[in-house]
Amino acid sequence: MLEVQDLTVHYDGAMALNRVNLEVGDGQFVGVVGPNGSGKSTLLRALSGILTEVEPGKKERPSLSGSILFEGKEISKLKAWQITKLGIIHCPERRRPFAEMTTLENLEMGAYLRKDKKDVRKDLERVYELFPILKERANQMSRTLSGGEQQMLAIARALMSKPKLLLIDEPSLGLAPILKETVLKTIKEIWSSGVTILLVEQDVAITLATAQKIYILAHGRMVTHGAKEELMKDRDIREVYLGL
Amino acid sequence: MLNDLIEIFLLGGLQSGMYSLLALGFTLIYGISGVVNLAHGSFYMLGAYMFVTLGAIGFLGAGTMLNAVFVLVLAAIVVGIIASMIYRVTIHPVLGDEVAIMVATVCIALIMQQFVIIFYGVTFPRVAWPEDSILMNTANILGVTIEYSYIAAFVVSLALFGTLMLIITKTKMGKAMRAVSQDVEAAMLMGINTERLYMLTMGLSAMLATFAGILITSSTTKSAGAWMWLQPLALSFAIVILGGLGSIKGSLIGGFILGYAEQTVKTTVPEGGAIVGVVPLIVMVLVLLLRPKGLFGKRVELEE
Ligand SMILES: Nc1ncnc2c1ncn2[C@@H]1O[C@H](COP(=O)(O)OP(=O)(O)O)[C@@H](O)[C@H]1O
Ligand SMILES: [Mg+2]
Repeated sequence: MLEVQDLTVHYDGAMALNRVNLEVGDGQFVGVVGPNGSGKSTLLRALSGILTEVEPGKKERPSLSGSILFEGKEISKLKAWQITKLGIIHCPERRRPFAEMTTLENLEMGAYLRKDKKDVRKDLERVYELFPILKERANQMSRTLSGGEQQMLAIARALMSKPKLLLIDEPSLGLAPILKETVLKTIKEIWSSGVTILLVEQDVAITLATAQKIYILAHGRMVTHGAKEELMKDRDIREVYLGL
Repeated sequence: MLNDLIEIFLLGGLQSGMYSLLALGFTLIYGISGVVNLAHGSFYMLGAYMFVTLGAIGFLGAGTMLNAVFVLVLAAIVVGIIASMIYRVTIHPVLGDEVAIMVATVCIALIMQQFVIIFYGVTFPRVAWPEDSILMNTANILGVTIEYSYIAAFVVSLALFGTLMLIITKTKMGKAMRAVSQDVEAAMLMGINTERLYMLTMGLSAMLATFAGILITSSTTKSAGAWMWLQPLALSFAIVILGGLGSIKGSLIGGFILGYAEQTVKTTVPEGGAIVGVVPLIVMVLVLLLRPKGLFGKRVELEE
């Protein structure tokens, strides 16, 4: 479904990603783990096109090279809205709800590009089933929601975009352990409903517990990848990168 | 004394409504795209000239009120389209660079001024409603002489204000505008094409400027001219600085403060009409000195 080859990203001269290769198969749950600053967000931002969406007059702009194939199509030159239209939906780091909009309006924004009104209404019901708290908060400004609720809103909003491939950036960041559990459970549910998932996380335990295939990212390089069992077999990887 | 108060209350109120409309488009494009459009007054001017030129054609019967209203709307649409094209060609390529935006929009303003001089000469055409229209008459309300055109301008201004609020809160385009003003990256991730949205917003902003230009200039005491863009630009600036740049409610409040301030000077100061032009500038300087963020300018996002 997604094939990334030699993806290199520079911010104003500093390299953030160094010839990264990554493959996500149709229906797979792929995880990327790496410490803070290793380039996880940069990777997702490159995939969703938001990385290169800098206002035309701005001097510093990240440069990107390499290729990103989605369903066989090169998308690295597309605009963010075009990539969204293809079904790659990016649930960004720090949730980024529209603060001065209600929960419901945020969810409607998720469905911005959709023309299938009936299905949108069905999806809204489904999202409310997944996150009942959002139904209670439907008419509340999203800035008044708690961190956990905002994370649920961010995931729900992404679902409203009808993703084929869902990119999720650190959903567990800043959440209490019990909320982490809830959020993870729903991500798994979303996956079992047929959405391909690419999750990036600092939290190794979370990634190991969910992903079928795990990539390890360090200093902008993919160190290795494989299934949990394979990675755990290698003592160096276990100790150096997974800290287990 | 009482007469003065009534005059200030009535004329100031009418003036205020129009000023709010004038600043509305200015604050709208800033709130959404971050563009301080120094050519805002030029769209105001272009609107007035468009009204004169198109009005002479007489689509729905020369000299009728129906035709005038039609031309009013047509002029707004034409100027809106011109503005969004100008935006795409000149402002969009430098978006994000504040200085370049100022330079670009000042250039647009000066070019439009020359354009008007070349095509119309240094003339001062009347932006008038049909002679037999009631809008060309005056009413006497509580002893104050008021042009009907002023009352009409006030009513239309408030109606346009309400319409814009509805667009922003209820329509899909309006919600996209709010989303972009709150978090442009997140908005792009929703699939919003910001380039197109900015063009639309600039068009809308220029349409509002056109309405303001025609409605305000259609007073029997005013006429168009190649320099008529400067005063409304200064006014827009003063109003949004008062109300908070990018705040829609702020443009209403700022419009009323300035409208009443001007009318108070006109009514109470001898020869006040002659010096009233400095009022917005004084207000602007005072606000910048005392409250640099504007009286209500806590947020720069569009409010509901
Ligand atoms: N906008 C930016 N400008 C310059 N450098 C950046 C920017 N964003 C991230 N970086 C740098 O790129 C590297 C990777 O950052 P990031 O992708 O945010 O990592 P992660 O998400 O894994 O924490 C870091 O060294 C960071 O300092
Ligand atoms: Mg990150």
